[in-house]
Parts: sequence; structure tokens; C-alpha cells
Amino acid sequence: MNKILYFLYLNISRCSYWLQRHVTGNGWLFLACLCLSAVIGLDTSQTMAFQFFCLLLAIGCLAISCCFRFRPKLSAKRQAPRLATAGVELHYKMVIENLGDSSQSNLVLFDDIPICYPTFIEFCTWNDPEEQQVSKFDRMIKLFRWQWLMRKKNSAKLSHQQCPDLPVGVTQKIPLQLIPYQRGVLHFSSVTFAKSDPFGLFRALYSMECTDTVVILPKRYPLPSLQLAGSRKYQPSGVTLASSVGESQEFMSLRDYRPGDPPRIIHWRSWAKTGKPVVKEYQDEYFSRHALILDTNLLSAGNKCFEESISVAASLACTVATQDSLLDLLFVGHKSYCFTAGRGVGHTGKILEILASVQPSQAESFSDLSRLVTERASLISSAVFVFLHWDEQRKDLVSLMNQRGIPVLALIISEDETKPLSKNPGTAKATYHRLHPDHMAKGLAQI
Amino acid sequence: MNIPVLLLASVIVFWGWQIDQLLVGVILAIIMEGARLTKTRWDFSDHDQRRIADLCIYLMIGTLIYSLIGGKGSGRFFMVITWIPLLISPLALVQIYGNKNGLNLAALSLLARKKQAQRLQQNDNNYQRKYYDISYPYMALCLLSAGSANNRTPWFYIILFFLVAWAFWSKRNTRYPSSIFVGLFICAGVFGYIGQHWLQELQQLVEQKSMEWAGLDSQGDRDPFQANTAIGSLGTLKLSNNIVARVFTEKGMPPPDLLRNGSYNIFSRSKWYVSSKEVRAIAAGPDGKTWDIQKTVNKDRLLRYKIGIQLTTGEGLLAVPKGTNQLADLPVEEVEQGIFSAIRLSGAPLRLYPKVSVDPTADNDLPPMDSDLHIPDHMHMVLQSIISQNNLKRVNQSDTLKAIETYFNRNYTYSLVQDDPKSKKNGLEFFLTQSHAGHCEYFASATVLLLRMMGLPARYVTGWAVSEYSELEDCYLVRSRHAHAWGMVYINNHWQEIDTTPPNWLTLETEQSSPFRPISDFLSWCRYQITSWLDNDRPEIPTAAGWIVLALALYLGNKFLRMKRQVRETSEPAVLEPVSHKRGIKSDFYKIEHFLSENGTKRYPSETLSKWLNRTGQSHINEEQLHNLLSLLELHYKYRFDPQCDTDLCGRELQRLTQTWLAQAKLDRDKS
Repeated sequence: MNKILYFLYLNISRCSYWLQRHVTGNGWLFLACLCLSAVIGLDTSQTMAFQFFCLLLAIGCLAISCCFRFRPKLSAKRQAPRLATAGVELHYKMVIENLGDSSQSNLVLFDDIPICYPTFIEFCTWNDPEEQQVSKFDRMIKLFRWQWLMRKKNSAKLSHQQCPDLPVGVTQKIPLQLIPYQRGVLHFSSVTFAKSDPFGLFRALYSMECTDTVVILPKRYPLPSLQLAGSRKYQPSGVTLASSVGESQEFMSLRDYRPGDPPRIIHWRSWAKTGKPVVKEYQDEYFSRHALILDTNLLSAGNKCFEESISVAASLACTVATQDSLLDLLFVGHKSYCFTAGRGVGHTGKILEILASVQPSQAESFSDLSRLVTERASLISSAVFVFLHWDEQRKDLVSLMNQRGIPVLALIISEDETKPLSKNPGTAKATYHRLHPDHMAKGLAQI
Repeated sequence: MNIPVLLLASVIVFWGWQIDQLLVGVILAIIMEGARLTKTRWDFSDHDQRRIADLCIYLMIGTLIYSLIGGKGSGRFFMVITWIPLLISPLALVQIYGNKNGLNLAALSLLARKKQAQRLQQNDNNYQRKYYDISYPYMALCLLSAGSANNRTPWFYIILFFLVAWAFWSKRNTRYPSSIFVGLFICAGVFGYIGQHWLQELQQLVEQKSMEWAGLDSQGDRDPFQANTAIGSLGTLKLSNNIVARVFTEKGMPPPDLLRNGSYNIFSRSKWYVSSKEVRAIAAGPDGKTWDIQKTVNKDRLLRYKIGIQLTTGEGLLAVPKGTNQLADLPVEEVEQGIFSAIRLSGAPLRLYPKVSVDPTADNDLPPMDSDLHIPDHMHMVLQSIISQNNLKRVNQSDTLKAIETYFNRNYTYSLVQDDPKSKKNGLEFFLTQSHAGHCEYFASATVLLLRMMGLPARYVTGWAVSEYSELEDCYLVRSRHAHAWGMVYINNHWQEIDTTPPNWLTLETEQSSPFRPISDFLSWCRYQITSWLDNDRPEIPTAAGWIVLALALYLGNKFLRMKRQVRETSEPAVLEPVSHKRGIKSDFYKIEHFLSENGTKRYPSETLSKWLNRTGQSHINEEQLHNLLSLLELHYKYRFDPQCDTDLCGRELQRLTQTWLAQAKLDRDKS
């Protein structure tokens, strides 16, 4: 049954995509009339609709025959930004030039993103989170699942654009727009030019390679001004690490060399004068360093919760003021990661780019994350946790941070709002918020 | 309106002309095109558009029901299609005279309506209402409706061609020169013209082949001049249990044994033909429903039957008993009789219930002619040898008949299966000489040819055997598998029927019937009762009144339902009072605030209750207390601000819970 349904949906989707590109708006009306006239005129002795059908069929055949040869000499170059945001319309331009010896008019431009169809295994095993809400029959025919998978695997909706007239040798900039559905990396593969037949029913297509990549950043929510508590902490490498690679400008004094000092801080001239190694000593730096800890462990949480957790992390990364403090993003993918932004070390945009590519991790990954957080606890002024679950491991981690005097803001993204949040004793410096994935904006406005 | 000037009007007038309602077409065209002369436009909201779309749907449903009940023949199915331009004209007028230049998709599609409602409910800011121009789809529907009127004039295609060309011209791709467009369109017109002739021929071919395949022509109910047979066909002859006729007799009277479709006298290549296609039109009686086939000689001898039949195409052969001289209660346009007795009806409704008067002694058939002795050349030797070997020819003609009947009864068996490939080439010869088994067509054809070989004029007759009595329906049922063929021989100056098919053929046929026959028979009876009531017993409804009543009933019924629904939906909010900002200002929850302020943290003026509770919860109260407090806070907010909240009930509940919480909190404080 699954094989038949998969085969059916796959081929219908392919046909539908092909038709959408090859048939114009008038062409759809034409096809509808052709089908209707065929049905009504089925019995040639009962109606005269068969004459209408024959005329339309002849027009259709001639129109299709005009669509066979189309090889325009054009060049195309895409001018797209490197970054875009999920759910926000992306505007960009396509520069096309007519290299041929005849002018081109009434062309339609399609920007191509390869269509990804779900595999059979995905079709059988992946579940639409909202699948339980549809009727039994709908669940049986799995149409909703197919539509959900198609939306999931194809991250943008493209629209075609009418090109202006292109005389020989002329270059035109054509504005295009697309709506990215979800975060990730969008690969453009080619660009397609289409011309319709003399009747304006069907299109002949000509594709040329034109690759490009746009990173789609996660969707972000507006957040209230976030005042993260916590004292400033000593940062061993000082502002050196925070601002740039190289020597710090905050010189304090010279002192004798101690084993373990890096050779780059040796003051060579003093050594030459005194005959023993002397090193430069810098002012220790104290500043706030916030940690944004992202729980990527899906377990039983739905994909929706995971995506919302990414959006929350992105929103927080944009909200925390990184002019005066550092922000560490900690999460676990294939291994443990820590990225730092703020005070010139890295831009928040970098964190958003990283978040655009974060994938769910394995079940045992939370212990890795705990270890990573514990190791960096001495540097952290405050911590913001974005959890997908609320279990003993997570409670313990929050307790541990609290015990070290680090204020914690814990955001738990869960569809179950009924259960109260149980907390470990001694977590007075922790603030908890449960957020429902359907009401994220509302929930975040209240933190 | 995004359509060339006068194009839509021209199409509507064309439609009106085709359906013989030119005046309606002209008026509608003037109203549609008149929008260009006035700048006045109405603001039809989406809701208005949906209501008008609903009206159009109800009009169409009403017309469909009325056409199914009151229409005649298969034409009733096209009745709705024919009137579609008028039925959906309100929708077109909403677009033309509206200020939105299109119709909201939600007005046209229930699915879109549902989606739109969902999006609006979710306050989706990105949702944009889409408006579609329906002028071209409306024009296409007008052309299709014009075609369904079946006004067979050569002007139809010519005018259709120009109207379609006009529409395409306005939408052509200007990339190409106009000459290319014109040239291509003329080519399309020519190809379309040739194609329609091919299509007609193709349909005839398909019909013929499918009839042959289904064995329908062997029943002889389509062509009075030709009877195809299954002689020479391999495989099993399959006939269905479908009831094709019901024969009602007068109380205590026996039914006719056979109902005749017609007789044939030329046999060639497994088919029987008539030697003359001459027909005579039978004049209708004063009531327009009575048709005299022959003059009645003696009314006392007449047998009367009522036959219920169904003619799907509005025309066909009427199977009647031999000696039929009058048909009454037959509301058809034309009745014709071939010289070989076949009665053909045309302009007939779907169902007929004619009363047939039969004189069993009458001989209405044409006297013998030379062709009644015609034998195909290749059959001479076979027939002669059978006659001589079996000594079939007797001096007395009656004895000859008996000898033939005996010969077939003794030497031949009834069979619906022919699986020997040799029978394909000359089926009848194979039947007579080798297989000695076949169905009624073999027996009848062989009998007729043997009689002719012995110099007796004979004809081949097709029709139905009447043998199955239904107690449920109190009538005789004639099924598709009761189709039969027999012979007719001219002896002693009159035609006499001769049926040499073994008498057990009906038993054998019955054995092959489906086990679900009783169920299908019962359903068929139910359908017959309903259709019979609709056709005969229901009170007459004037055409126009029927239309109006049906459409209005549907529309008003829906409106009534909607009104009830709206009343239900709006009744509760209607009794709501605006929430005063002073409501709940003395909520018991403030006692908790006072208690906690005294014993713990004080709430800042700008701090919300929830924030303050969270802050308090971190230091002064335990987790369970905090959880209870948050529930109480929710109730407090409801009491204060929810317009749908029952304030008395909510207030009492809040008071009770507050007192409980305070008592517990005081107890905890004292303990600590």
C-alpha cells in the first residue's frame, strides 16, 4: 500500500511541477475547457460540444508544436544576498544579457532550486507532528504526510518573473523574490527562461547553469530587553582574546619570566639589558560572559519544538548586547561546540549562521553538553538554557550552575503545558519559563 | 472586465441563439456589456460574493433535480449545462458591476473558503485575499453550453471558430507577428473541422465494436433492419440478469409467450437483414398517446397487457406480442412500423408503460415474398444432405414442421459455449454438421434455412421470452438473458411461429444467473416503484413553477439554516456586558498580596502580579505554594477581565481558594 501511495504521490508531484512550469495561466483555463468539452461532447450525436473539443485540440496541438525549439543566447548572473531569514521575503536580482543576434521579448524567468522529493523510507517512517489531528482516512492515505515532507524538504517558494524586452546586447536587471520556509542553506542550481507559444498556452523552457548559495537564518522573535544578571568574571586571556588576535594594548608592567609564559610576551630588549628573560605583563580583564546553551537532544520532542528552540536561541543571540559582553553558544552536534561572539571576537551574525545549520543530536549527547558547560562554568557570568525536555539531568545541570553562583534563565519548549515545572532545591537564582511552540511570541514576551 | 469589448456579449447572444432563447441571450448580453457604459460600481464584500455564489449553486442544484425528475430522455442531463450561463450570471454580474475586478477564490471554492477562514482565525498577517477574473471562464462556459444545446447547424462551428479566435487574439503572445498567429489559427480551424468528422466516425466504429463485443446487437433492439448474431463467435455467450421489461397481465390471464422485436428474411455472414427498409408512420390518436397498428376486428378477443420498458437514448424498438393492434398510453413523438413488423419509437421519455392490445388470431405480417426463400449459396449442400439423410421433407407441411422439431430435439443440445475454432469460419454449418450444440440463434437460423430448403417461406424473428413471474412485483419479468430468436413459417396461408430451441434453454440460462440476483431484483423493483410514481402518479408540476419552487426552496432552506446558526453563534455574545475596569477590583486575591507584602517581598508599582509572584517564589514561599498561587492568579485574571466569566461563581470560587491558601500559609508561617 505504502509503495503504491508513494509511487502515486511522487509521480503526481513531478507532473504537477512539470505542468506548473510548462503551462501558462491561460493554458490551465484552456486545459479545463478541453477536458470539459471532451466530457460533454463524448457522444457526438447528443451535443455539438465535440466541435469545440476538436477546435481546442487542434489549437493545443499547434501550440505544443511551437514549443519544441527554443535556444536563446542569453547570459544570467544572480545578485543574491548571502543571508536571508526564514519566513521573510528575500528580494534579489538577476542580471541577464542578450548575447544573441535577435531581440528577445515576452520571456519569463524561473529561478531554479532543485526539488527534493522524499525517499520511500522517509515517507514510511517520518511522521508529521500534526498527523494525529487529521481524520483516520487522511492518515491512511498519507497525503498530509507527503505534503508535510515536501514542505520540509523544499525550503523555499519561488515565483517566476516576466522579463522586459531584451534587444541585442542589452543587459537588464530583473527583480526576483522568494520566501524561504525554513532555516538552512539554499542552493540555487540554474536559471530557466521560458517563452510561450503564439496562443499563450504552453511554455518552452531553456535552462542554464547558475549556481549560488544563500544561508537562511532561523526565524527570530522579538524579545523584551533582557537583563542577564551575574558579575563580571576574570578572563584569562583578557581583552586579547575578546577583541583581536595579537598583543593586548592594556600594558601594565614587566616582570621576570615564569615557566609557562608564552614566548610572544617576552620583552627582548629588557632581556638584552638584564641578561635574564623578562616578560610583559598586561592588565587582567574582567567582563561579563553569557552562555547560551542549546539543548539539541530531541528524544520524544517533536521537530516543531526543536525548530522553535533554534528560533529562540537565535532571538536571544540577537538580543543580548554583545558590545559590552561575550556570548558563548554551546551545543552538541556530532561533537561539542562552543562559539563566542561579542566585543569584536565574532559577530552575532556568525552565531545565527551556525544556528542555521544545527541538527538534532543523539540521545546520549546531553552528558557531553553538561560536561562542556561545567568546564566553562568558571568563565560564565550567566547562563541561558534552551531545553527541549525537563528531566533530572537538566535539573541537575541548572542546580550545578546555581551552586556556582551563576544566575540561570531556563526556557523549556514543550507542548505539554499542564504539568508544573518541578525544580531542584537550591536553585533560587534560576528563572524558569515554559514555552509552547504554538505561542512562542506570546511566551517570549512574558520572560 | 478584462475581456475585449463586445466579445462576451457576442458569446452570450450566440448561446441564446443556440438554445433557442435568443431574447434571454440578448437581454443578458446587454446587461453584461452595459457595465462599460456606466461608472457606477457596487462594493460587494467577500461575504456578499459567497452568498451570491451559494445562490448560483442552489439554482444549479434545483435545476439538476428538476431536470432529473421532469426531463425527458437523455437530454435532461444536458438541461443544466444548457442553462449554466443564466444560472451563474449573478456571479458574473457581481464581478462586472463590483469594484473588485474579480471574485474572491473563497466564493468559488469550498476548500478555499475553509482555508481562508482558518487563516483569518489564526490572524495570519501574510494572508492576502486573491481575486480572480472570471470573464474568460464564463465565456468558455457559454460556448460549452451553446454546444450542449445540440442545435445542429453548420454555422455553429463557423461562429465558434471566430469567437474563439477573437478570445485568443486578445491573449496572444506578441513575441510573434500577427500573421503567424492568424496562419496558425486558420490551420487549427481546418484541423478542427477535419477532426470532428473523424471523431464522429470513430464514435460510430467504437459503438459498433462495443455492441458486438457486448452482444447487445444480437438482441435486435437497436436496428429494425438488421440483426447481428453471435453465430461463429468463440467463447461463452454472456447475458446479464438486468430486467429489460415488465409485463403486466389482466387478472388470471396468461402472459404472451414471446415478445417480438422484428423479423428478418436475408441471411448473410452471420447476420440477418430485411429485404426492404420500407417503414410506415403510424398516426397518433386524438389524445396523442394511442397508436393503432391494425384495425380491430373483434374487441372481445383482445388480450391486454401493460409493458414497462426503458429506452435510454429516447428511441428504439418496442417488443410486443404477435398480433398487436393497438398501443395506448405511449407518449412518444413518433411511431413507425417496418414492413416486417418491427415497431420503432422515437422522441420517447426514459421510461414507457404502454398498454398493448393483442388479437392472438390476427396475422399482421407481410405475405411471403421471394426473399423469404433465400438461402446462402454455401449452405445449399449442407442443408440438402441433412434433409435427405433425415427424411425431413414430408408431403404434409405440418408433418414437415413436426419432423424438423423432432430432428432438432433428438440430435441437438442447447449450449452457450462455442470453443472449437473451426466454428468461427462457418458457424452455422459447423453447428449443423459437427457440434450439434448452440444457442437459440443457431437453432432459429438453421430451422429457417432448412424450411426454405424444403420450399417453405420462413423468416427469422428476434425478441424475448416471457416466462419468469415475480410475486413481489406481481408481473412477468423479462431479463436481458431472456433474449430469444425463433422462426416463422408460412403454412396454410398464414404465418406460424416455430421454435426448435430445446425447451430447457431457459432452465440452463437461469442456472447461470448470479447468486446476488434476488438483491439486484429487489433494488430494481424499488427503483421501478419510485420511477413509476414519478412518471405516472405524481401530481403535475407546471414547468416554470417547478423551477422557481425548487430553486427557491433550496435557497430559502439554506438561508433559514444559516439564520439559525447565526442566532446560535451570536446569542451568547449578545448578552455580554462590557467589562468595567472596576469589576473585581475587590478581588480576594489582593488579600494574598497584602499578606505576602507584610511577610515577604513587596510588589513594586510597575510589577505585574505574575512577575512579583515569581520573584516572591524564589525566596519566601515554597514551590507548591507558588504553583497554587499561579492557579489562583489565573482565576483572578479571569474574574477581573474575562467578559465571558460568570462573576458571581468565579468570585465565590476565588474567595474559597484564597481563604484556603491563606489559612495554609499562616499555618506554615507559624510552624516555621
